[in-house]
Amino acid sequence: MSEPLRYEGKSEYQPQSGEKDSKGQILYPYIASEDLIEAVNLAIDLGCPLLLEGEPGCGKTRLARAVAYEFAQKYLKPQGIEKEWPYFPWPVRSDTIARDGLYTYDAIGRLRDAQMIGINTAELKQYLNSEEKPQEFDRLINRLKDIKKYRHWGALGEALQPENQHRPIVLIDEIDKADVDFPNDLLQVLDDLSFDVPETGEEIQRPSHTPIVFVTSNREKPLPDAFLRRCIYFYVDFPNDERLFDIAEKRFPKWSTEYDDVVDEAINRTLEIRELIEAKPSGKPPGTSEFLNFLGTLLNKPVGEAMQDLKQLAQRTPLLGILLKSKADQDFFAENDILEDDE
Amino acid sequence: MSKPRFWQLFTLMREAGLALTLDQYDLLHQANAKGHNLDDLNTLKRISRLLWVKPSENYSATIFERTFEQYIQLQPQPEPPPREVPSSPSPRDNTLTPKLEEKPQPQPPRGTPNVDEIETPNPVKTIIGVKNNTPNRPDYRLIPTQFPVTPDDLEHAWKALRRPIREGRRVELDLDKTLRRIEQESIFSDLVLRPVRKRRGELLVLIDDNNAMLPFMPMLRPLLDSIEQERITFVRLYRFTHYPDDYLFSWQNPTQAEPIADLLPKLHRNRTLALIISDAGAATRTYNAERVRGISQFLDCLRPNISRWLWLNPLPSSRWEQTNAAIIANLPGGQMIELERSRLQTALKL
Repeated sequence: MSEPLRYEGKSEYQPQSGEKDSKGQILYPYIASEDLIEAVNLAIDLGCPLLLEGEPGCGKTRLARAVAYEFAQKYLKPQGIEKEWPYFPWPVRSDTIARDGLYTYDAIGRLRDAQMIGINTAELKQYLNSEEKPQEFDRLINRLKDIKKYRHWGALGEALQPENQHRPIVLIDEIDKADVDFPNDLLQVLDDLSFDVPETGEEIQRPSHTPIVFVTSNREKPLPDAFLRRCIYFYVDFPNDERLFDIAEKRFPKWSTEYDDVVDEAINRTLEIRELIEAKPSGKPPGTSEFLNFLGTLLNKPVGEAMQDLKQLAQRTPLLGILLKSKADQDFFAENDILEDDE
Repeated sequence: MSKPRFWQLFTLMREAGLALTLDQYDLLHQANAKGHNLDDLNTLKRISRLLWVKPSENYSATIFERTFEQYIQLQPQPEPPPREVPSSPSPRDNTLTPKLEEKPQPQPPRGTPNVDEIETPNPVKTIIGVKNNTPNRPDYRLIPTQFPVTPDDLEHAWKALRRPIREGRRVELDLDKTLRRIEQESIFSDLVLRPVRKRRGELLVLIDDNNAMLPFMPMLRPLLDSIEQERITFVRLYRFTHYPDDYLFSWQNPTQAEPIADLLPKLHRNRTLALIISDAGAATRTYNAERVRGISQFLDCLRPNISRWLWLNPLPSSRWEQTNAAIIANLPGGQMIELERSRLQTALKL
């Protein structure tokens, strides 16, 4: 039986500023709303995938990483284990098929190895063994003897291995990018949590530590009802001004007090722009990540200049470009900017 | 209590139109067993929303919210509520629908304060009546800003349409087939090539502008806007009246005619989808042999030059019987569907 896990989103489990993961990626704190935390815990309890939708840049993708980080801090560190929580991201592309997430089988590699053996052994040794790789020939022989060496696990396949000591976290990122049949192909694996590898004859059984699956979608394609029925669904909203301030505070912990007005004004301006662009058909309102880039740029400027920029935002196109990514949206903002009208 | 817990909530939701299954009902019990306190109505609402609401018409958030309100009202009284549970879930519907239906005698337009409520939906009254025929969607209401197909749906549909197909010369290596051939012949003899996948699609949109189509023109606005804003590209847009004869007329300049014979060679046999938007006589409930013959002849010319045709009829299929529509719907090389979101998506994916 799996251990009872609980995600709390508390600040004591958040990464310190500048902290990096094992791959050198900078880790940022993640501020989750109460509702989102409840959804995560429900997904953990019921073992259902959590489907996250929301505008681009509102933190759908980063949630899974944040949960994995908190679990490492909460459940591994106290036991003296300085390891990361098992976390397997699977970025979906337009040509991804469901099997890629489980395993890939390198048939060409095996064919090449087999063909090479047919060549004169002495010549082959000379060809393969270089100074950097003196054992390459033996490695080739070993590879050929074991067919499993040509099979590589995908993110989901890795998460279903019986050796996992904890419930691994899987992120299926941007599921709507793939072909329309992709979600349906995944259904059975997500239901049974087991699969076969016909090439090697392996059978992966349902593991005792079942994975926690996060799925994100930008709604580019509608997902089939059969897939939706099995998921817990949560729409990640754009944060309100209070949470936006929290997020800014966690992300830029060391701004000096004279910048307080800049931050307040940047939040006001962002919310203003969002309200305006949301009313425009086919407009793309800025998300949280755009806001953070915008604020980051402002905090690098002297206070006076930053305030001036915020006031005349419509004319500061490079700065406005951080928030609004299309000419049509920028023009629409310039025409309707309240501050501009005052002057 | 003879009924199991939450059963009432579950059945209410199902009756209101959520396509819930017993698995989803069971999930709610599992959540309760795992320590989520579902005695609290607010928690129950949040958890059941997480489990039952999805981005799909069959799991609509609006229906959920409305039905949950109804459930809450049923809760505090242990006895059966004094008021009959209305079969139609929305209180607003209850006031609106009967009013529209029980209005055979003309009321003075500005006599009672109630009239204000009725005023807005009036222009689309016929459509409300028609949609009410659909038995599984008792809550359906159409207000002029809510059209059955939105610009976003069109964009999805357009994406589905441009599904990649392999065509043209065989220049790409087909690895799987090459390997299979090596296995079969046990020697590497030759590569197997295949055409490259290309994402292409072209639309030929033909809109009927006969008088019976006039009430539906605002509904086509999203489509026309999407074409104008170039969210849908590679489109030819024409109009015709009743049926295309030898000419089609430009949508923007109705006086400009293009001979059909000139248009046909410009279409692509694999890529072009002809989208025809017309009531096909269903709106006026007429059968006109000449119109059927005209359409049938036109489609015969069109068929060899396009991949298929799709006829979008703004009227529900129950109204097609004994009109031209019923016959046209059975013509080969395409299909006629109701102009409605899910049907459009399904039809385009074929």
